[in-house]
Amino acid sequence: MGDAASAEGDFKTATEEVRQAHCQFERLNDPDGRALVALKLASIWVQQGQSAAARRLAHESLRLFDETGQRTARAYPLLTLAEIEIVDGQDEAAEALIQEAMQIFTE
Amino acid sequence: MPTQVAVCAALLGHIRVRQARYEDAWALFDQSLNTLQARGCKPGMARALVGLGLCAAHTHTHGEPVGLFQQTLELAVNTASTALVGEILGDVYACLPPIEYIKPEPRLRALKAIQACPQVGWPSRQRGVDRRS
Repeated sequence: MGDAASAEGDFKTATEEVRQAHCQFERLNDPDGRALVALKLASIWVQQGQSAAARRLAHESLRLFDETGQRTARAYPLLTLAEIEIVDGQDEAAEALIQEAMQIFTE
Repeated sequence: MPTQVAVCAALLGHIRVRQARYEDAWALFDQSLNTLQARGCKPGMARALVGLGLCAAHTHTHGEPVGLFQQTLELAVNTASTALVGEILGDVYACLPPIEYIKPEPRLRALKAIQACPQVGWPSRQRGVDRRS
């Protein structure tokens, strides 16, 4: 639901729905689910130009994927962090993150 | 090229545009587009196409920028993604001021879409791309 709302540019609805999902995954103590929704929220914040909030959530997602040993999944928050660096004008940092993600995707 | 690698290539392409390395950017967008087209990934295709359009607008060596932007906008409108249309239109405005060259109907739909979601972020729109006179 959050994905659909986000794709339609309805960030308010998307944020609300993803936040609800985040609460449910916390209640279920499901780190993979929390990592996914943190990533989705980070993606929404990037689109709204909220770099600091997006960065915090993308790092949270990365940490949770690392804790659960999801090697391939960690590439996704890396890409979101790369988008944030691009928005912030940090092209070198962005490129390093993209290369790391590409490395994971091609393993 | 796997789909996610194609997404990475498109992101790298936008960095190359900002570095004025248009040939490198073109190659990355081109590879990305081929893969995303084969997978039917319309939002990704639209992003790769707008990248090609940006390269074309800067270099005049690759095709026709207006034609590429036209295709991009139609594709983005077809995906019904207002955010994506907003991003792409932002790039088009930043790069190619004579937007009247784009056919009125998709332009009008794109403008309505961007009005519906004014807060969309895309690197070249936020940081600015050199305007052509």
